[in-house]
Formats: sequence, structure tokens, C-alpha cells
Amino acid sequence: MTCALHMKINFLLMKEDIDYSLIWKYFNTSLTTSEEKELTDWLEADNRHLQYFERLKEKHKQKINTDKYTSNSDHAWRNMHLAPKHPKRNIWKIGIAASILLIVATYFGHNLLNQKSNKIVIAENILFEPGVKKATLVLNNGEKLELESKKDTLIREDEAIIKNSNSELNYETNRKGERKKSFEDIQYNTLIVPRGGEYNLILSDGTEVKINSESILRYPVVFEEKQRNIQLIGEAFFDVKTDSLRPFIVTSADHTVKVYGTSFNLKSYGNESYIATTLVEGKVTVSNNSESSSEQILQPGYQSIYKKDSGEFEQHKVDIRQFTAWKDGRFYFRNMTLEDITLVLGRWYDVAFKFRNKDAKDLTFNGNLKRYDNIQSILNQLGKTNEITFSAYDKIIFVD
Amino acid sequence: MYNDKLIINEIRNGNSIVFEKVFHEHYNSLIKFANQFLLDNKISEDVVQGVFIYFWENSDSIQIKTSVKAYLYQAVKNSSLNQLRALKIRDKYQLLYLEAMLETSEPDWMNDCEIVESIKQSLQQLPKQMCRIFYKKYFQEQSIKEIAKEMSLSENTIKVQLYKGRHAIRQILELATSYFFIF
Repeated sequence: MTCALHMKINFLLMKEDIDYSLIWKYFNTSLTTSEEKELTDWLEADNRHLQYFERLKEKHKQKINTDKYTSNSDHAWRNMHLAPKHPKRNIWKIGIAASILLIVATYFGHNLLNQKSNKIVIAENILFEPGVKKATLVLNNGEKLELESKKDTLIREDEAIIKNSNSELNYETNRKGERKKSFEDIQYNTLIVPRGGEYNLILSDGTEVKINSESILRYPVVFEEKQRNIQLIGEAFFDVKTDSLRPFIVTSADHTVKVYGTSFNLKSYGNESYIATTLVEGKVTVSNNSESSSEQILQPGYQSIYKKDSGEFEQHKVDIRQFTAWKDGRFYFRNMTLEDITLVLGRWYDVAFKFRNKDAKDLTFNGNLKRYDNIQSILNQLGKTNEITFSAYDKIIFVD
Repeated sequence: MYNDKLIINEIRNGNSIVFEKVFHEHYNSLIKFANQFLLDNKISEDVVQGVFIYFWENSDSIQIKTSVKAYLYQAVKNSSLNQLRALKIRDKYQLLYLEAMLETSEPDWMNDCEIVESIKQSLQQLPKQMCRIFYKKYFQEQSIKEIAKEMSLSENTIKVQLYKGRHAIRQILELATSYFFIF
């Protein structure tokens, strides 16, 4: 009898317990009626439950609430009352300690070996393959096509035939596309190149574009009559077909490059603070969309740096190889900081770098390396200075 | 990791200078962390200080698997959940832990493999729907929206194609939540 009663009480007590997922669902999704009942029961069972729930509500209303409070570790430390420790150091104990140390040492040695094969990978074993030719093409109607390097395909758009062969997309205007076009009836395609990818493109005017990893290019299937407008996020090298009547204009956010026929490299990643235009030959003008007066002319061998936050332009004479080597299958670094190098490597090998040694970010390197090598040979080169070591976990490379 | 072994050894030998250093290094972020569970500054301070005192007094028997930091977070988590047990709250799915880790957003917890691994495991154990909400809330970048608008593409297209694996944390999350990318 008493036993049964006891069980019943226990059962009731258990009912009062609530799983946090119910509370979480209340704030993030929705509750079923029975869940709602369970939550209400819990809230009504004890005033403290209600209080806690009210604080949760506040937290959800204004996220800052819990962050606003800054504790003071100095103050807290003064309130800590630690009992002093007196390690006893008898000679026989040291003997035992030494043997334990030996055991511990072998144990950890063993552990480390296990870990290596399990999760953390040391420098010599970091094997990440270089990028490959891959991209996604988004057609004017929104249809998506995965482009593979080895497969030759023909894609039909309304106004052009697109040949995909040897990792290159080539636009050939058909009869329908040749009619005169106004701004309104332009049809667009978009090429998305992921991290660890690159792709080549020949636009309908014959302009050749090499697109680097983690980039998006949006362009008309057939250009309009008066100008050739395209948009880029990321990095690409352009070899623009000369057409003195139709300027070729590349827009990235509020930055514009205008050319008539020339070759240049444009680098404009969202996670970098600047946009760099490097001119190989010909002539280009760069400008900030908001002020037409700030148009700048760039000479071959020069690079324009547009600072996104201040909206200012700077020009420098540069070694263009450093900025265009990627399209010829090389990494060419000149006094480049390790932080900048890891950005480049991260995109190409589709890995992320984490600096645990913050000082290493500013180390500078020179190098001329093969882009199609496994990352290991590049890390070996960088690690030669002995100032830094690399280790990897999943797709993260740690710099120590 | 070797560094952590040294720290433990020193603390075991009663080196209070090393202990104080560890205390100052982690105290404030642990308070923030505990506060995500407890939503009460005073109780959070008690919990964290309690963990440090326990750590000091029982350092001989405490096993540190990888890092002192991971141990402290684990201990504060357990102690906070104990407090919540008094309010009759269970946390089967470790939702509180996940929220606390992600809301605290301490800049370098990513460097601790053990912590990353534990987040990954917790995410993997979530029911799909919950996992999806976590992902939406914490890991979708605003810029995806902007780019989608600029390039006239669906946000999903960009998310899948380009931003896949932009940050290290996303790499890990992808393993745990790869079914997001099926549709």
C-alpha cells in the first residue's frame, strides 16, 4: 500500500519536471496543446519556475540583457578564500612520483599517437587537394546546372548557344540574340564558383574571363547595344575584347571599372576591406559609383586600391605577377603577410585557418609555388622558418 | 596541450600564482557562459567561484583530458544544470549548452578541439527541426541576403553553392547538419 502510494507520488513529481526543449520551443517555434499544458503545469507548480521563465522572456526580448553584465575577476578573486596547499615532499614519495610520471608519460605518449590518427593531424600529414574546375551556372529562368570539367555539353539559352568544354563556357549568339537590344530585355546568366573551384568563360563579345574561387559573376547572355555591363563578387582576370563603341563595365558593390579593351585583374571579396584592380595592359578607369568626379585612370603595371570603408582610392606601381600568377597556376608571394596568404590558400584548398599564435599573422613571406600542388608542400615551405607550425582538425588548419 | 599539463601540475603543487592566472583568464567569460543557463548574475558568480574552489581543492583527483579551459566549461555547465534541477528543468538535448556556447561567442573557443567536438555532437543529437532553427539563428550570414538581391538569385542558391564552408565553424556544422543542403 505504502509502496504504491510512494510510486504515485514519485510519478507526480516526475510529471513536474520539464524538459528545456519545451521552453525552447515556446520561444523558437510552437507548442502542441499537450506541450502547452505541460509548460503551464510546470509554471504553476512553483513561483520560482515562473520567475525563471520571466527572465528567459526578457533575455529573448533584448538579447543584450545577459551580456550587459560584466563581472570583475579582480573583485571576485579577492572574495575567493583558498586553503593553502602543502605538498609533502618525502624522498620515498619522489621515487613513487617519478615512476608514476613514467607511467603517465607513456600513457600520454600513447594518447597522443591515438589522437593523431583520430582527430588532430600534424603538419606532415595535412593533405588537402587543390581546387578543381567546377562551377554552377544559373540560367536566365533560374535553372541551375552543375558544370563538370570533363563533360562537354551544349546549353541552349534563348539568345545564345553555350558550349561547355574543357572547363570553359563559351557564349555564341544566335540569330535571335543578334537583334538590337534595349536595357530592359537583357537576359542574364550567373556563374557561381565555389571555394576550391575555378572556371573559365568566354562572353558573347569574345571577352575572356578567368574566375577564381569563391566568386560570383553575373553577365548578360548577349550584351546590350551601348555598353557591356557585368557584376562581380570575388576575383577574376579579364581579357576584354576591344570595342571602342561599347565600354566594358565591371561593377562590384559601389566600385566600377570601365574599359574599352584591355587585360586586368579585379579582386573584390566580401570579407576583405578593399577592392584591388591590377592593370596588365591597355587603359582602365576606376570610380566610386556615388561620386562621378572621383574617376581615376590606371596605367599598366599599376594597381588601384579602393578602400571600402573610407571610399578612397590609392594607386601603386606593383609587380603584376603577384596579382595575376593565380591564373597561370602559380602562387607568387612578395612580402605578403601570412594572414593574407592564408586567405588565398583557404579559398583555393577550401580550408579555414585559425591563428592560435596571433603574432604569426604578420610574418611576411616570399615565394613562387605551384597552385595545383597538394597544400602540404606549401605548408612545408611556410613552416621552414621554424617560427610556425601547422596542425589540422577537420577542415581547419591551426597556426601555432 | 603540454602547457595545460604544466598548469595542472603547478596547481597540484599548490602554486596559487598559476591558479590566479587561470582564474583571471577564464573568469569573466565563464560568468557569461553560466549566466546563459541561470539568468542570474549572483548565482552565476557563485557557481563559477564554486567550480574554481573545487578545482583548487581537488586538483589531485581531477582528470584533465585535453585543456583546462574545456574542463572549466564542462564543470560550469554541470554545476549550472544542477542549479536548474532545483527548478525541475531537465535538458535532454543539451539545448541550454548549445545556446550558451553560441550566445557567449567568446572569440577563441573555436581553438579548442574538445569544445568544438562537443558542440558538434550536441548538434548531431538534436531533432532535425530544432537543429535547423539553430542553424538559421546563428550561422546564416546577412550578406547572403545582400548578394542574392544584388545578383538576382535565390538566397538558397548562394547559400548552397558559395557560402558552403565559409567559416571553420560552418565546416563543423555541415557535418552535423548536412541535410540542410539537400533541398
